[in-house]
Amino acid sequence: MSMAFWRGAGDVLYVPTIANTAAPTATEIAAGTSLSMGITAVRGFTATVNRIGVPILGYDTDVQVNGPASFVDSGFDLVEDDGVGSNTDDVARRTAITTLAKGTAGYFVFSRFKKKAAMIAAVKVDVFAGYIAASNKQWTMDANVARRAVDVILTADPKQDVAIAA
Amino acid sequence: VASTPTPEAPPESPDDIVNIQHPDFPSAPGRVSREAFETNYADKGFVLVDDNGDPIATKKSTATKSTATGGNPA
Repeated sequence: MSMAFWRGAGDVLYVPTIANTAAPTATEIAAGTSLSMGITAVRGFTATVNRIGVPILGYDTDVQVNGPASFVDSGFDLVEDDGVGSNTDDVARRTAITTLAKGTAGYFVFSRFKKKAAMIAAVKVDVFAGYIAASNKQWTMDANVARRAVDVILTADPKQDVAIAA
Repeated sequence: VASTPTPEAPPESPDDIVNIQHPDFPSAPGRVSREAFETNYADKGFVLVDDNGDPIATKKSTATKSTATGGNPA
């Protein structure tokens, strides 16, 4: 396997219901909504390690034990759409915003190198449970595309590299 | 399933957030905007459900909305 670039290859889905996040089914994944055409930035969706230093009389250096992990602030920046266009990319951008409305709760499924259509049985994905705490337009006069910041609250241990069940 | 986390509802849900579930793979209801339900999920077989996962009628829009968004005050 060669090195590869996530953008353009992988996908991020919002999936409303997953019965077992350790083994999401292909049917559940197929019912999800691809967000990739709307996402212009991804924040977080990782956990940080909190190391605890332990002084030991027998050593002159503190040893470490693994402390509580915590999520970094997670969310997406979405490209806004002026509502005029009607091609598939325009629709997908608007769908991403509609899908990630404040109050939405479900699962965010990340695939490194497979798009939604190729997320079939045995493909490995990461699954994060959570809800949308905020979806705010960003107002700036800088040379930026109009965008919206979506803040996600993660509510369960992430499941990483879980295989999609048939 | 023991390992399945229930998607927690935010402390204060906007009025247009509804619970949805798919009859073919029932699990904890997902919560989406009514617009997302109508545009993305209704045609995939999802139905509106109450906080207990019981289907609710969709044709009585006012009653449905009231039931579906009755809140989930943690």
